[in-house]
Amino acid sequence: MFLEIIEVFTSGLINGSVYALMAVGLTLVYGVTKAFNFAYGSFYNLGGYFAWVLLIPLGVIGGYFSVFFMAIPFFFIVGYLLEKVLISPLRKYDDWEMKVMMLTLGLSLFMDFGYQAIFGPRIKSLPGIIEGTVQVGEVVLFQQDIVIFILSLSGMLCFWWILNNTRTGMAVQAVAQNPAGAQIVGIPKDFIFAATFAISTMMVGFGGILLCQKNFVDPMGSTDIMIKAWVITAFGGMGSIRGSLYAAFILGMLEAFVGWYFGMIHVQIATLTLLLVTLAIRPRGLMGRE
Amino acid sequence: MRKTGLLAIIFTFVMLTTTSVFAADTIKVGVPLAATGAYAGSGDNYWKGIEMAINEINKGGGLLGKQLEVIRFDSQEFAPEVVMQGANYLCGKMKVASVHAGWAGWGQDIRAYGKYDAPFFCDDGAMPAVDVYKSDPEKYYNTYFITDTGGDQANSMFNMLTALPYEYPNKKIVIINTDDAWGMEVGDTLSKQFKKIGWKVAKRETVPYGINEWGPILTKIRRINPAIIHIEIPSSQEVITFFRQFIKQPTNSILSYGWSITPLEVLTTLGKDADGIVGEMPAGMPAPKAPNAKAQAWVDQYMNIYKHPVPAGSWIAYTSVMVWADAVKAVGDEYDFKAVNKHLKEAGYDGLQGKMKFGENNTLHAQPAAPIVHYQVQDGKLVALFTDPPLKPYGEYKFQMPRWIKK
Amino acid sequence: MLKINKLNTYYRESHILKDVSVSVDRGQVVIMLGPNGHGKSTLLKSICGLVEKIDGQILYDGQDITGLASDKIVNLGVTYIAENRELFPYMTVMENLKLGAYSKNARGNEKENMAWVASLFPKLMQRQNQLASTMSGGEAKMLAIARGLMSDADLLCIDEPGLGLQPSYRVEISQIIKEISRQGKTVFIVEQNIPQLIEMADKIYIMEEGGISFEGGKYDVLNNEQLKEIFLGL
Repeated sequence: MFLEIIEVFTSGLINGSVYALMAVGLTLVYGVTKAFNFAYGSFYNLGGYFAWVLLIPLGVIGGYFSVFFMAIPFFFIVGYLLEKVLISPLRKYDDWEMKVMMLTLGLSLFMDFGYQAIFGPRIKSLPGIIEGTVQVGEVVLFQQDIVIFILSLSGMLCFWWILNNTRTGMAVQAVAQNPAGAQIVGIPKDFIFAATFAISTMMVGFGGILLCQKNFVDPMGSTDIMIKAWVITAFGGMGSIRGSLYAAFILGMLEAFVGWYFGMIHVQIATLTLLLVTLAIRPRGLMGRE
Repeated sequence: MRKTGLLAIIFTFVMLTTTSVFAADTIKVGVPLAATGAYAGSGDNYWKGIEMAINEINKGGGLLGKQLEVIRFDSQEFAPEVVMQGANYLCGKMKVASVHAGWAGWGQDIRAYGKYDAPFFCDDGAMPAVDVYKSDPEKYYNTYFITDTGGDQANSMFNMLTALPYEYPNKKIVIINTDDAWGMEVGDTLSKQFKKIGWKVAKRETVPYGINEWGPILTKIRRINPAIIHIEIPSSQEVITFFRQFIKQPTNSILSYGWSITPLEVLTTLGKDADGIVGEMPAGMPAPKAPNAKAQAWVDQYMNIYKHPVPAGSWIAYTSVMVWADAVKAVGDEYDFKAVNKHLKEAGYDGLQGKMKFGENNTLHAQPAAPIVHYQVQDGKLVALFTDPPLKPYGEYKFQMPRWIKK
Repeated sequence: MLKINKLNTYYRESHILKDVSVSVDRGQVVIMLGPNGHGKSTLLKSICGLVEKIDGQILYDGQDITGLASDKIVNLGVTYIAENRELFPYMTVMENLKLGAYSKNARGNEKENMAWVASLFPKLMQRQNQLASTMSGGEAKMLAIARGLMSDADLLCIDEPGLGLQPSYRVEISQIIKEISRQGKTVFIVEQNIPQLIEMADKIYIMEEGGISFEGGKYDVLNNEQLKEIFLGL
């Protein structure tokens, strides 16, 4: 029994780390721009297809090392341009937050069907970063999971460091906390909005590569990711990065233990119950700010 | 004013392009399939079979001297209103002479196409769809189910599992199925049958689609160490991730994938890694060697065109077009729906695997000419071990002990 | 140094500033008086690029900065210090100050400015690791001014620094403004709760209903009993 709990715990931990990586980017964009990016899940898929195109048809030298190396500038630029070209022009309207949601919702459908048109409706499989298992006492761990855990964790630490130790990172936080104040001290809001979008796109693209190599690239797979990221964001507190980190691990654990003890069919309902109860008692979520 | 002008131009353009279609003397065939969305993969399998049949008929001079013209409709994820739209478009507006769908819904499709008279071939395979038919057989007389129901398929799986030349180390089975009509039907039937012969269903897990993390379930399975693990999830992703996570720390269990072995991606993704898994295909084509020369020629041709083995649905979708064409030829008028339907119901058809006939509830029950085929993955390919009914070993192919089972 | 010609601003349907013309010379302390809600803050914000719909001309050192983005204006050396402080609530005092030196022109002098600010606001320095949101109103106001000074600006547009503060803070603020001015900075300030400021003023404007109703030296106000009573409560 004890051994089983350890195994389930590990599974929850690994899930949590990936969820954290996914949700942090979404909550960041919300926190800074106060607009919700519904196309987030589709960028997850873009990560998968990016890796697939590089690894399979192009057979890039260096394998995943090159993929990650190229993904960082690629997703940064894609996110940056997207904000500049599509979202930024909407900001002149009074109800621009709503307009951004409508636009990103449309964009997500466009991207999903675009993937289907370009890559076909069938799922694509990526080679694993690493295969094999590690035995720790009686517990068997998959090397792939360990790599995912380490990479998501370091991805997040990296993000944390950038946010707290660079001028741009501090400016991003400043805009999130007080856009008017940020303008007063001379922070170029438009640039920060675009940079935030770019960073969040980078994180979700990175997460997409990590998870798609374990599972698949599925042209319609964005919805699941979007729902999960949204639940974590809302549960953790919209806009609170620390909140979504906690929420991600809580949900990862909840899923693992509910699935193990009560059965997989109850996982979704348990997650959503937790979300609804949290929001009913504490509408701003775990760590959201008024 | 400018808007009406634009509309007029669009209207004229549409008329010009569509009249050319009306002008040619063709027989229109409706093909509503999932071309986008979650079921697009299986939609593609059906389409390949249908396309092959249509091309074959057209190359051979057409039907009643007329070329067949396909009109496709994307039924996406079978939302009732989309299915209804499809029926109204194909049968009401385009006046197709027959409709060839694959898996098309859970009964909403039967209702939608039941409003019309053109024969409607579907691969629904689950009781709720058949129940719609049974509610008013006269109204739905134009519906044809091209595979057997989940319950019948599950009985066949049970027979195969107990007939495997393998001594089970214990009498425990774990059954994992989806939370839809198909999964529940198969899960329930298997569970009932195994209990009847004194087995213990050590775990019955109903799961939603979309699971990629099997850790918690595998943890339980490892403790149970069952003799059989049966997975019934008609979607490739879940069953692939299950296998990948199972095989890293396997138990001494026969992995029975049921219908889940048939989505094309399962084998193209797992390849030889999947060696040892067993599964079935209803109205299937035994492989790697087909049962006769004619069937083998068909399989070769399929592989030639599409460059992959025949997945579930392709052959029977092909056959459904042929069955219909045969009926039209006999009747002599593609729009005499009464006569065509009567012929379909009564005459039977000489298919690649022999003479087949629709039975009770207009269902093509498992029969020697359209058998349930039980396969094992060997060397990365589906190899037929048994055909049913009657359940008998197929050809010279032998069961191989899965490599993860340790004596 | 600052010259505003016929400035008009609009917010939604309303016309806020109407043909406002103001000029501030280098090194001056210029005070704007007037009833609340008549456009004084809007004028300061317009100078600093924080108001969207503006019409007219704002010249800073001869350069037309009308409608320029706020970050560009800050970079030229013009800073707004908000009446409602606009701090970053979940950052420490030190982080708020550092962000005050965000603009490119301020980065080079960050150290010197920090030392200067530390000498002006020794109490803030004792609380450098405290979160801005946990400070009292007076302290927060000091932080807002200090953050503004970090921008290395030549022209400081200070919006009602004394509003809602205890008299002791008001005295402190007037001393600080005197010190700022002594350092050669130009100060354009909206304030009528600190009588001591009038003593420093090189020029005084009064704004009513979006227009300038009075322009003169400090003695013009101090010698006019009516103005004195209405606007300074003396």
